Amino acid sequence: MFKTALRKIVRNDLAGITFALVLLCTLLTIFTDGFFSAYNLDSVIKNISIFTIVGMSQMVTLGVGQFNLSVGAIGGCAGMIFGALIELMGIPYVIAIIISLTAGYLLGYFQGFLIVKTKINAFIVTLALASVYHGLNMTATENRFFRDIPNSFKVIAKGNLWGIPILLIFSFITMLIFWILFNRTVTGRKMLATGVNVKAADYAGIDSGSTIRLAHGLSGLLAGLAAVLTISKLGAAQTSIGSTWLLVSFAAPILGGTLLSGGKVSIVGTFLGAALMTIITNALVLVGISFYWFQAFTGGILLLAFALNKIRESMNTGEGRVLIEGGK
Amino acid sequence: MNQLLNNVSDTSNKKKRFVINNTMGVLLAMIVFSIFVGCSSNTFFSVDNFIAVSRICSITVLVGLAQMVVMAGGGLNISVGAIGGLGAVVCGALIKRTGIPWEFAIILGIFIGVFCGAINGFIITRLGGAAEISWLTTLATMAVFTGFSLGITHAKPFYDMPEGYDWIGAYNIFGVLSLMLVIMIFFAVIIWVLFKYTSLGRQVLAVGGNQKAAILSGINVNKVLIFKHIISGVLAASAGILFSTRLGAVNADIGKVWMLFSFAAPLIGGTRMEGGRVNVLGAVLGGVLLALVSNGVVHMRINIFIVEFMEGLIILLAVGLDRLRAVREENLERLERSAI
Amino acid sequence: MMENYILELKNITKVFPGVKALDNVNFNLKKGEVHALVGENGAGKSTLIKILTGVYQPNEGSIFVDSKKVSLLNPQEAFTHGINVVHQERNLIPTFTVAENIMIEQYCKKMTSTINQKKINQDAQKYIDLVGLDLEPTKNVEELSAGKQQLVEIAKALSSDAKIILLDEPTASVSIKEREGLLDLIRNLRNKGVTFIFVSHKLEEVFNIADTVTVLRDGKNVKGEGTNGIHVPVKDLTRNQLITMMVGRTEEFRAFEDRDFSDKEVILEAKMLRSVDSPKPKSFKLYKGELLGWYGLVGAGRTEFARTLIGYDPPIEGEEFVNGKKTVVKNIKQMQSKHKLYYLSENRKEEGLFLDHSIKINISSSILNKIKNRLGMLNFKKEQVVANKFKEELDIKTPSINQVVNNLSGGNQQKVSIAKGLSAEPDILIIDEPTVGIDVKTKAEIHRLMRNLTNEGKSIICITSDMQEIIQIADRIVVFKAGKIKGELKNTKVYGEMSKRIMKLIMD
Repeated sequence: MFKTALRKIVRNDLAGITFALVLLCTLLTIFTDGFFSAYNLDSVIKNISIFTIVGMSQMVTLGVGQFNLSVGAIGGCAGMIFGALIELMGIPYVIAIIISLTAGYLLGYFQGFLIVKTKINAFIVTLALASVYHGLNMTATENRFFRDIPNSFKVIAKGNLWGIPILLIFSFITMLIFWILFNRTVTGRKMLATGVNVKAADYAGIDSGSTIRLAHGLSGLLAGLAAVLTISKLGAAQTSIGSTWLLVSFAAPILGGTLLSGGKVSIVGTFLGAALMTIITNALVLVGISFYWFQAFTGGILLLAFALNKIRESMNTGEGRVLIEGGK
Repeated sequence: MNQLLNNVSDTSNKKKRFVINNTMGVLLAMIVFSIFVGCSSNTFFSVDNFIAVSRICSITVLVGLAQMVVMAGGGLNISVGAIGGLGAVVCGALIKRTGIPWEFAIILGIFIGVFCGAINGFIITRLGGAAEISWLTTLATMAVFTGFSLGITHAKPFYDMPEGYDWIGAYNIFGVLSLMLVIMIFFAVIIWVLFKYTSLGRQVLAVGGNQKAAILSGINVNKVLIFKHIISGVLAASAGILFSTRLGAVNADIGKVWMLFSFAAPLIGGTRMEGGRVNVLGAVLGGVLLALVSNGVVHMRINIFIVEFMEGLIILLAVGLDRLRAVREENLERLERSAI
Repeated sequence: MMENYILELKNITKVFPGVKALDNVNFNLKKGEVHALVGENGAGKSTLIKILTGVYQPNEGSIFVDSKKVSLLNPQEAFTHGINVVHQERNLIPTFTVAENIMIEQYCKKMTSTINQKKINQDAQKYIDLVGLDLEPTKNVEELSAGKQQLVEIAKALSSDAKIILLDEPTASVSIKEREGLLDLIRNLRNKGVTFIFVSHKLEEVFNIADTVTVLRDGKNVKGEGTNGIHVPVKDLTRNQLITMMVGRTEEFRAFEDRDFSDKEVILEAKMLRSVDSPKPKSFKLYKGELLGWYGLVGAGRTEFARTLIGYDPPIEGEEFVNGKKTVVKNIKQMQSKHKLYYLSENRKEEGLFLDHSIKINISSSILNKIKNRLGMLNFKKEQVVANKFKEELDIKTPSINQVVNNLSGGNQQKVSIAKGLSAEPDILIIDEPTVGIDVKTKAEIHRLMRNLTNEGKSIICITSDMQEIIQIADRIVVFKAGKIKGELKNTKVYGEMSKRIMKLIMD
């Protein structure tokens, strides 16, 4: 009986992770002083907001059955472009945001273009491009900081609208947009079809190449968005932005039910996954574990996420199937 | 048409040509690059610099071999750098915090490599063993191992290593041949022997070449996978410890940037990404080329981050060329079939 | 009477959900003979092979090797009992040399054993010579032609002291010259005492080298004509008798009525058309409202030609006419939307369906552009309507159209695949192997469906390797062999006569 309950929790992605979150928050509230304080919650929510977007950046590529190892590198580039535009050229930040996001999109789109054209697997292409982009970023900016960020921009990260942190509103709006994309639009449907079965998509008349390019482009755009929001939070643009994103970008969506094999994404799940990661890290802080161990925990959680993913995938192919294999 | 078919079937030297092409290509690139740098800087062609380059390449080659061993079997090991760091950190911690003689600590540090590799192999086999799983898993274990390094060191380096320890990284045989280089060559020869003369090496290559056929031939794929990751871990940990002997200190940053060039060296040298074929000499030369590049860039007073940029480009080029080659072969095969 | 049987399969029955693949099948193999296993697609050959090689386990029946009862729970066990298989697809390590492939089991036994390259090459040479390969043991396998690779696999089987070597369609992908060599080799090895099971569609080869023949049809043994045995000595058999055993049917054979297309327009035509994967020029015509059958054995090149027509592998020479107009074929999307030409793949799981998605989503995947509104948003209502329409029309058995396709039976999966194609409202439909692995009732439904579609004015090309199916439903039959079109027949719907005419075209 316990086994079937456990099975249901693993399978029904959102229920399981929500349960874990609620449990965790409850325990933290009871056993620690700091968790439920306004300051702590505020910081946690802000981190969740940004990590949700980072997670969605990877989620989009997972949706078409691909991977993007350069989320951090593209984010870093877009962030530095933003900083340069504001500080060196004095461009108003709204326009700078648009330009940075476009840059992120283009960097990602180029990646997708290479992958489709050369048919080299996404792993090596995005890995190599991550170094190319990061190297370019470091060289072009000579690793400087851009500190002259206008206060009005910093408000985005620091401020609240009707009591809700603006960062959270940003991430909700992004979630909504992508939810609509994947659930309501033809383009989103085409992307998911490509993720489930590229060949079947081609035979159905869906241009799998263009969906892959689009997915990488959107991934880059989201990375750029996450970078811009991080700059708002930090108050400065620096090249280290994005350097820690790779792991989280996988952990969040996979914990939340997005499949590694492609074709299924969960926007809400990615948010919950990001929440789980952030709160676990927060828990480590509150419990007093030295923060040097955090990476070890993140890695461990990611491994757990993979194990969950494997279980989910094998449940898809095992249970409830009526198999007819003809004698051929 | 007949002539074309003759050309296709007359590819008995293809393998040899392939190997020669790659090694030749790398050697050529090395020579050209060295000349180029030598012209813009007068300190490049000096004995001191030769020693410096030999030290760098001892690390790049070891790390490249660590990756190559896993690639040979059709997988990937993202955690090479992290294992290197952890090996060094454990060694350093043992030396500084316990009274263990440094020779012992080094051995234990290398055992960390065994341990980490075994963990990698074990998890990958549990998760199904596909190539994708191998890099996703080692991505996660990279974080775990790095996390442990950070946790042990609290981001503070271990200074003041014992004299003998530092000596390894500093000694030059006859004043010109760095001990690090000799150690690297020692490991490289072992790996060469592994693939040429041992059953395990062949089994790794068989799994990389055609996993299904390997299974049908009675090879225990899971066992092979775990072993190759253990070997990879040993190489990585050794690289980390060796590096720290030169550094004179141990910190958690060791190995942080190794992941990228761990691919570059074997790919340049002709090892296939999908596995099934290795080129040990090529990987060694690839490591040397990378060392030359990172050294040369400093001499030319170019921004050091150009190296990262170039490494990414090199990998793309290497894989792209390999893909072109594969496409050309496919086309030839088609022509052959249509003549039947 | 004790015959010296090296292998006996007694009363083997194998059942899958909805399909009885093997029904009380017997198979006895004498030592030192070449025993051919013959039957049409779907007759049960491949299931029997999978049981022999330990991939499947029989539901009933037993297996004896050298008169000892064995259970073959996996391929390794089959191998330990001396059953070696050379499959249709190659199972060699492409980056290894010939010698390294042949001797692989010997040197991979223990992790710690050392490789003596010289010894491997020497040992392998023996087997290389045995199979008549004239090349160095140090040659890389990936550089060899398919035929030579196959010989390497046979050499490999010989090196492990195989009791029985099973050859599955060995001449499917070899050149004509290599084919002769291969058949000679089998004969020679047989004379030296090696036992072969030879599975092939090519009847002329059966008569060429086999000693005994066992025929399967609809999952059962077929008794030899004039004898009462199920293992018939080849020398006692004529070509016609063998064909009758393979395709003859005693039960009632109901075919569709004849239709005449002599005055109808040509809706699709190819003139000397060739492409990269379909390199031999081919020509044919498809009339409006016709159900044209493309028959051929596995590997005849029909799928490749279909891929040429639809734009997946665009033509490089020759001409294609749709609706009488010359067409420049660029890609699938163009042929679908502009020329209303749709192709349904034979591998419905790998290429035809989105298994993890619902029926509804699968059906709408070909008409995404038709169910959207101005902003590119999906019109769920329209999608629902279309999906329900096809669920009704095709009688797809499912509690709801939101059911994930992976959970459906093969027959229903195929219906979804067809619905996916039909929703695009094509004028010309190319269906590749529509009823493979599908239960009899659904099969009949699909046949009826195809007939009705043509009555409504659509034109269909049905690619199939099922002789009975094609004679039942097709108006005309185009016969393919080895990438060429061998001939075209008006279908008289008389089974005996048509099957013989078709086989004659193929065997010539």
